[in-house]
Amino acid sequence: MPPSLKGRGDSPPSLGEGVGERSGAWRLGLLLLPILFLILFFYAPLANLLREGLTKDGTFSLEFVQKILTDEYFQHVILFTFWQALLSTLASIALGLPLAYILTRYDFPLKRAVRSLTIVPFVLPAITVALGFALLFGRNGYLNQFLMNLFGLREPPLPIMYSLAGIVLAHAFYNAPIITRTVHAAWERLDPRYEESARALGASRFYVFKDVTLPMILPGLLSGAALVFIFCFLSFPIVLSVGGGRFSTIEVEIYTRVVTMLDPQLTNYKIGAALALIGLTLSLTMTYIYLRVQGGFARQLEQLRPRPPVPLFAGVRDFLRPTKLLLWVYVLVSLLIFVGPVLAILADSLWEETVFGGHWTLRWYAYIFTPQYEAFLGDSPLRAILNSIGFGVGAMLIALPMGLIFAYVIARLRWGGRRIFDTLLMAPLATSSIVLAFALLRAFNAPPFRLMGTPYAVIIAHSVIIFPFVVRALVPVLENLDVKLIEGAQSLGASRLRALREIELPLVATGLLAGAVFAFALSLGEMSATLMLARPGLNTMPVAVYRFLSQHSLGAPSAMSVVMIAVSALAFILLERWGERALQRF
Amino acid sequence: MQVTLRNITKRFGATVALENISLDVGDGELMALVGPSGCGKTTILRVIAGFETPDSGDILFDRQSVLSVPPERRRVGLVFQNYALFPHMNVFQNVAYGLKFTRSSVVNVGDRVRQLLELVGLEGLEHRMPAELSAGQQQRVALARALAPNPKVLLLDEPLSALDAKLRERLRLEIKKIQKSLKITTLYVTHDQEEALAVADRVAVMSMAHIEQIGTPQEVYHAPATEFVARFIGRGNLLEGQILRHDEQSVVITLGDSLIRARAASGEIGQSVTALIRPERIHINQYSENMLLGKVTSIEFAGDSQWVHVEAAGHTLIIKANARDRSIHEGDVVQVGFAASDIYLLPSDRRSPPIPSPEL
Repeated sequence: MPPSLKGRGDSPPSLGEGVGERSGAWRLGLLLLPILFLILFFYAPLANLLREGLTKDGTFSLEFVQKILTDEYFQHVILFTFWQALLSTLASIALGLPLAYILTRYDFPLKRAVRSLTIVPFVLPAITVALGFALLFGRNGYLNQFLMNLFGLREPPLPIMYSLAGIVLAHAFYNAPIITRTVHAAWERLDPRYEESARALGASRFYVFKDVTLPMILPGLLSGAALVFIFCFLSFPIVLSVGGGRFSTIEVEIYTRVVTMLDPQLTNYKIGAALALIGLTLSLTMTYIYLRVQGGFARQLEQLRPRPPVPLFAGVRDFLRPTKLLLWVYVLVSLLIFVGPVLAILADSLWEETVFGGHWTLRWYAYIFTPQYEAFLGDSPLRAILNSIGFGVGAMLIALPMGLIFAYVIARLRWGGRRIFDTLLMAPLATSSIVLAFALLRAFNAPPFRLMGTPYAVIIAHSVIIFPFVVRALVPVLENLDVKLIEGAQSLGASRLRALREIELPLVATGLLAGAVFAFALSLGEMSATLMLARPGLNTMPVAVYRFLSQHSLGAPSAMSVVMIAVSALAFILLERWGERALQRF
Repeated sequence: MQVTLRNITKRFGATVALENISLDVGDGELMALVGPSGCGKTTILRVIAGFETPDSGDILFDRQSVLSVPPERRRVGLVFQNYALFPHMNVFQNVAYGLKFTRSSVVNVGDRVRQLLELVGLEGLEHRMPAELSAGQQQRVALARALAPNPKVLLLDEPLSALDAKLRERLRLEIKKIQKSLKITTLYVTHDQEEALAVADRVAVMSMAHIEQIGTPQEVYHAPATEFVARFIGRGNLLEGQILRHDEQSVVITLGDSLIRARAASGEIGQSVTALIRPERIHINQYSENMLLGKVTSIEFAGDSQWVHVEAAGHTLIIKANARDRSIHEGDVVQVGFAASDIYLLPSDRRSPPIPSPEL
């Protein structure tokens, strides 16, 4: 246990302790604020939506749920959702595990940088990944063009785009780093003496891994895999764009039925609500399992002795040994999958294809920054950029204070309510953005709360979506703060409020900044809910990219994606500076 | 089996972990490596086990170099301070693990495991998980596991440091008994000099990457080769003085404004020397060859004895006295006495081998 954690719990502090007579009401009000927010904008709309799925003509009915569970098409949708999530999880493990091993065992230049880069998927908008995949792996993508030129083929040899393989690969791009992070964390905390004991007993490297290492890092691997499975299960932008409409998961099915189908009888709303009910049940179950696995894992091991570092390359001859060749293959595949799409976007944003060949250009950037009306956007590209910034700041301003109160309760208060708060948080984490947006759509489409079509709808949806992430980022920051410092300040005569202002806030300031950056970046990349709630004038950058992509127009979305990637990179750098602790739970 | 280290040097970056270490552990011998933390004693074990490759030098098992032998084929038994029992295997599986890799399948695994658990006194606990065992039991399982595949060398890395004092004393006796009954060559790393003296046939005292002295427990206690060893092993009084004169039987040393007579030793007249007198060899208010007048500054009660601090001849002497002696009080002026044969003069060149030790 790090020393700073000692003393927690022997004197539980509470919010507003010692502030004065009104502290009780003050404290209660503060606690109620985020709860009310969640009830109003999450639990009530969600309950309302689930009720819709369970009623017919105002009375309780399982007709729609039954219809989905018995209908062959819907069965296929549900099974496919599982299937692609499973394949994506396995691909993420295959791609992420070797890096965890390399990071744990070897020392090499830029190791720190590589390790930090594994947080990028959290801040990189999913739609940019979809775009990068289209540009690199599409029929006319760079890779296929290159291979066709190289071997003189007439057909693109790698039909990755618009296939299950494409969805799985894109998910692996997104989620392999999660596997790397969780496994690396577990592996690094594994005392090397376990492995050394096994070797001294006669076990070869292979047996040491199979008998000792793997069982001991398995909780880390399982917790990472569970998280990846949930993400892939709820994935929307990638399935929609990389799958190209040929593949329907639960999320895509809800979106299609609610947004794109004409629906005079509202049957599709009912079907969508029932689908949401089924999907939510599944994802809640999985999230519960994940949190249990992760909780058990977090307590399990503690570092006892650092691992002796082994240089990755011991001399020039070492570069070409058979085991190192395997490594080179891995590095090449990783570069293709992780760096390739980003480079493809960057190249495409600077290139204009013409009948006479093509040339480098900046016109796509000029185009996205002009307030020129586009029919298929229902607005101008510039509007999308401004909206993204505005919604991001708005959502951050709501989610950060609410998340801080929540995180404070979870991290610092030792009372029964802690569990309630933990549980309250689980549902938003397990609810997909599509279902949330659907619920908001149904709940706030009529007076007195007619929010649909206003920016508030998007901001609220974003706040609810990023809220659990903000809490999970802030809890470790607050947990790490030594309670004794506050007690010390109070014993020196500082009031509780003064201790809060002069001791706690400065100490958690960087953590809060990291949380703010994280929140903004998450909001910026959010596409699913926004797409469902978007009306002309409410487009954001990811939505605009998606609409451009649907028009098979590539230069402008590439330029816009570069802007998003630049913002993500900035967020990444800031998180890297401030957020080491804030991101340790992901 | 005999273990030999020849001129082993090991560096980690800029820090030297082992500097030109040479060491010979005889067949069936228990050698303790003792020294303050960071002196390199654990690195020696890791080099012998094969987890670290020395930068230079050689390791020999029965005069055969094992430098190119990977750890899993060196046949060393390893016991760590934290036991490193595999937490996902029960006691039986832990002890049986090493048997999986031994060539001779003649041995019945179940019999062998039971035999070892009997040896360490843990019969009947086969199905417990490590987390369900007490620290002492875990240590015994770790020992049984290390011994199961019949290793040629047993390496114990601070095996008892995580246990409480009483258990430590009991277990070190048991370890010694088992080691003697199996006649297995053993290296025992500890930072606790008392433990080293209690268990070892010979002790290697280490400091800052090199070996200060190798000798029997009696030798390192009574005839330390260097001031470091004198200070590290046991409690003692180190007195700085100068040689005043020599004769055949003795040497006279000035100690502040007092003179004391010590056993004959080499050394020039006028040379500075350091004299070691162990606390139990000084007597209070009893006639002795050397008598000094002093004042009792404090008394520590230690049950069967008492530690008396006396200021005499410009030094604070620590004296181990019988606890039943109630005549001593703080502030008393006392006569402290010690025999010439109980004074040990440290060799002046601290890296040279010790001069012939006095009869013990």
